[in-house]
Amino acid sequence: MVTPPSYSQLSKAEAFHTYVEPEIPILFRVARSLTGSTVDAEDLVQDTLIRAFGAMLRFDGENPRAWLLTILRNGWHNNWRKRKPDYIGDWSLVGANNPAFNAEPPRSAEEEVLRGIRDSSFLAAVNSLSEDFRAVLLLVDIEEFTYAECAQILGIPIGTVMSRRSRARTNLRKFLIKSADVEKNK
Amino acid sequence: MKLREVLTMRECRWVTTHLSQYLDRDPAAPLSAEEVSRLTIHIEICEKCASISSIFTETTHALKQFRNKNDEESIVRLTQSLKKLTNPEVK
Repeated sequence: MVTPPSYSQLSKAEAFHTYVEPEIPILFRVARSLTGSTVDAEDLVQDTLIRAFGAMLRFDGENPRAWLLTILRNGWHNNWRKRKPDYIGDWSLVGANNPAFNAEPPRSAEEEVLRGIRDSSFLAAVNSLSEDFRAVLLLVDIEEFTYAECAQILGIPIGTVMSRRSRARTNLRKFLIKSADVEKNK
Repeated sequence: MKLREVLTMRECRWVTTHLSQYLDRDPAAPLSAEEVSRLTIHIEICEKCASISSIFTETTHALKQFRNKNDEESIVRLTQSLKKLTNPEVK
């Protein structure tokens, strides 16, 4: 039986392929949740790869995912957060997938809000959230990371993930209620 | 304000605070059996909290529609970038 070479036996390039390449899909999913766009996510991961390659000699071979996510998070904090993101641009996906889209006008306040979730108000509601709240919401709901994974990705305690998630949902609901009221008074 | 109203408000507040945990059932934030039962009963009898709960659930469903299953092209491009990075001769 052939024993795989240990981390110290690998060249920098070999180590990079061995430890970093398998993490690309997860880096991409996280980057998309943070930046809200496929194009920016690719840029952010590419930037992460370049930084990681430059820092490869300082990597100890332990927990590559955590190491890479830290680089990605720092890159996001330093560069991407300053940009105004265009979150979840492809609204047609939702309309196409939701049979209730274009349904009969609802009557109750709750139905008004639920309708808002099914049309473009929802996109505006998601985009209205602060970046910190939105990141938690997208990581958990779209990318299906657990609270613990989300905490690790963002470098925050699980309790903070929980409170941001709860507040993100509450703020979304408030935004949709407000939108429904505005729509009604038009 | 009547005592009963105050108690209901307090219960609604507790329920909304724990609603995300209740709906997500994440292993890192478990609720006790008593808490689950308390939430379930309250949502059944309180119209306002039931409405909030259904909106939260619907929000989650709506967000899941955004899940992009076509990551493959991006992953291929990024893997190619990684190869170029480690071997400049790769085109």
